[in-house]
Amino acid sequence: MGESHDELVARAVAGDADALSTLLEEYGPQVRRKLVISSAWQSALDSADVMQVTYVEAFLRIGQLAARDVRGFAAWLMGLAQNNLRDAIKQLKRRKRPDPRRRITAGPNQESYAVLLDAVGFTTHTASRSAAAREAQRLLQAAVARLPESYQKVVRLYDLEGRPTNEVAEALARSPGAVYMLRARAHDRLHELLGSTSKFFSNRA
Amino acid sequence: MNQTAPKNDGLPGGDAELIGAARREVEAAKLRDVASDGATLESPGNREPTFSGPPPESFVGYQILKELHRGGQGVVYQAVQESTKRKVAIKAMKEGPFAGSADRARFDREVQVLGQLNHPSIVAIHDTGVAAGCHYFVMDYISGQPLDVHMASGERSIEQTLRLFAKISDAINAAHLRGVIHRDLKPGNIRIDGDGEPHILDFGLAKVATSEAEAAAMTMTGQFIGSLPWASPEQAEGSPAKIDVRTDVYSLGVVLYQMLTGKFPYEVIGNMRDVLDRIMKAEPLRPRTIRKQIDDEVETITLKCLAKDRDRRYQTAGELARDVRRYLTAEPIEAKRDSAWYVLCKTLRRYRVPAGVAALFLVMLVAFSVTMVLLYQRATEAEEDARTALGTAQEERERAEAALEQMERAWRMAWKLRLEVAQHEHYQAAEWEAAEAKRTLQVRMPEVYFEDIPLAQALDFFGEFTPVGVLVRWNSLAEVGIHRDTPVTIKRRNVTLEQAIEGVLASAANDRDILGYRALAGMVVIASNTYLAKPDPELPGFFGEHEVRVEGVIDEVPSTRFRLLDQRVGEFIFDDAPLSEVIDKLQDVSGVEFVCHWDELSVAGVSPDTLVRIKVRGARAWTLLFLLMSELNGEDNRVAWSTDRERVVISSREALEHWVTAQPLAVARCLFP
Repeated sequence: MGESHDELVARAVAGDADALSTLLEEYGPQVRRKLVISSAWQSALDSADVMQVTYVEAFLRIGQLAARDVRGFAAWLMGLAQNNLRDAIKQLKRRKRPDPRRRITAGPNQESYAVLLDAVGFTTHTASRSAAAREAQRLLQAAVARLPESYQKVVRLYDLEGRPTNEVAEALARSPGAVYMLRARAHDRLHELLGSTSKFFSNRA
Repeated sequence: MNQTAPKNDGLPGGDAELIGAARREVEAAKLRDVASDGATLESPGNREPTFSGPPPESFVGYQILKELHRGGQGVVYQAVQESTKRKVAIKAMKEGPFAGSADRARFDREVQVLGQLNHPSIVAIHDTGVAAGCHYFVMDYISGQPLDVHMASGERSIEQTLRLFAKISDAINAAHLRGVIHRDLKPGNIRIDGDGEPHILDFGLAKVATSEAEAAAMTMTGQFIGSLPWASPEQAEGSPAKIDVRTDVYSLGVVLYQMLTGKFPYEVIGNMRDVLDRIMKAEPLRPRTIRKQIDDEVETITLKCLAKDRDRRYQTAGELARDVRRYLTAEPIEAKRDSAWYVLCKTLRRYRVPAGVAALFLVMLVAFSVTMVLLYQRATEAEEDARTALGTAQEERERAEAALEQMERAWRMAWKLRLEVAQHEHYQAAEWEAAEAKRTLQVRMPEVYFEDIPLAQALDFFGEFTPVGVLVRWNSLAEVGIHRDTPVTIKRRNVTLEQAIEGVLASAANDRDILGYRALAGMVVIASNTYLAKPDPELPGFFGEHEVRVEGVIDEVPSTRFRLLDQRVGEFIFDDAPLSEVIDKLQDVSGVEFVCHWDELSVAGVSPDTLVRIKVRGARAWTLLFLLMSELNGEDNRVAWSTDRERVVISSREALEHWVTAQPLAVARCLFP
């Protein structure tokens, strides 16, 4: 390829998925080699898990990359991978059921959405907001529908249906560490989708 | 523990496969997004049972192509007006026949508002009607993108952004001039067509300024109206009475901020109370901190729109558009009108070329003046330095010369002192010698009786029976025809040595005045008168005066030399004894070390076995040494002696001269200890 990597980065940021694929094929394995997973967690997590989520994140977030050179891109990718690994290990360390406030009782009902909304940082409990609660719930459903498939599955199984991590891992054919990572990223994404969109706030008077 | 799920199912390990899978997943999610644009946020599975709008065929005269948007209160379709074949957009009330009166009122108002507005950047209304009990109106169909999508589709310069924004402001101003306040300005309501021209949509929330009472009836007091991130503080506060054209100016400010920086002026994510609080109180983050290319004026314009206090914003959208255009034509902007410095700067920037030339000239003039002053100062300093240095050098030189002179003076004085000391010693020695010589000649002899005995034997007699050494320079005697065996006759009683010697010499010379003597301390030298008339370097005080030389090679000072061998020795009688034996004896009696350079001496024909005759009683050691030298030399002067104050060195004259020359320091030390 005659094109410099810096140009590839610029094109990737502008939305060129081919350019991003090329860059990931070049730099992904380098990042993967640098990941250090302590032996204590290797049964629950491996580098492929981390990279799988990292690549999804890269495609989702490339538009936010501020750097326009390849060094910045490599550092950014490394940061994504480290972030995923850190979240997974943090959750693996806890290895216990989330606190009751964060647990979701059963099925995709109204209450579980409210708890999920809370979990992703939106509080709709205050009196003045109650009017918007139903709308927010619908918005959240829509936002979940906009997530990448793997994120969606984790949110539905873990947060909305309240199934334990191991079950979710089995259902997705992923490791528990991967489930924790997917969940952390799915929540981040939901937070963004709900926060950035003007559509969240209805234009209804 | 069953943490490890089977990885091979759906989890390919290679990076290329992982990347491909990630890409497909994200693209699929995006496709879902696009397909459900507009209505996305209402999940199909969970949608409330509502009237979904009139059937397409009920719009008389229009052919519905597709549903464009399903908003809070209305559904928008794309359609073709059958009579003109032009593309139009039809907005129908969502609730249709079930709509409440408030909804109806709002819908009617939008129709009324749009009907009033006639501006190229405000979507025009063409028709209204009722289809299947559902009110609708027909407006221009604007192909293109919403403003946020348009801005995100490529990098735009500050100028391009501002030009587009000025047009948007113009359109809003046009609405304001007809008494219409939009109240819901946001990028989603501004559409950019294929030519890059903006079109303002959705006047559904617009308020007609003149019908205050009507507006109040339609909105509950204290209820939030508008889209939160773009809402003004007065909207956030929920005070409809305060809403006027300046509310739109604020929203335009948020839109401008987003267009310039891609971000909101403050955090709009979080719970609604916090967001409302921030809208009312939080100071916007300065745009320049996000995008460096934004200059001070653009920042001022933006922040003026975003003032929390309505009175401090632009009072109309027209004012805002004018200020933006002033900036674009490099005129001073109103927002900064009060600063004289700013106006000056701006004017200068406007008349850039002439001002630049003048400024350049001024700068050059100042630079030239400064340089000249600096150079002059430096030159003055350098001159001063040089003068000081010269003065110092001269002082140093004078000081050095003075020191040198002083040293020379001291040196000369030291030499002089040395000389004086040496001369003093010499004179002392000379006086002593003279006194000794006098005493030597006064030695009394009871009887001297010689009858025709050889001269040498007669003189030996004096050496043998008096404490006086007799040194005879036979060479000089030979020159006047007197020899060792010249007979002498003398018969005298009770005479002094002086009288005895005079008698012997007179007899030997037959009363001719050819022979003489000279008395020294403990020694008498006998020679021809011719010889005695010349100085004899071998003998100290021979002529009473010795010049002490202090330049070049220094000869030993006689006084020093003789003081070393000043001891009186007892009987010293050797008749044809080997030289080595004589020297040993001499060493013993004098207490002085004697060094003989036998190699050198052998060249001069002298060896340890050379036989010597010396007969002296009670003489001083040096007398013995002179006698020995005289004995060894015979007719010539090949053997000599010297001293370094401690030792006596006997060697060939030639070697000894060399030795003295080679050791000036040793000799000097000997002279000046």
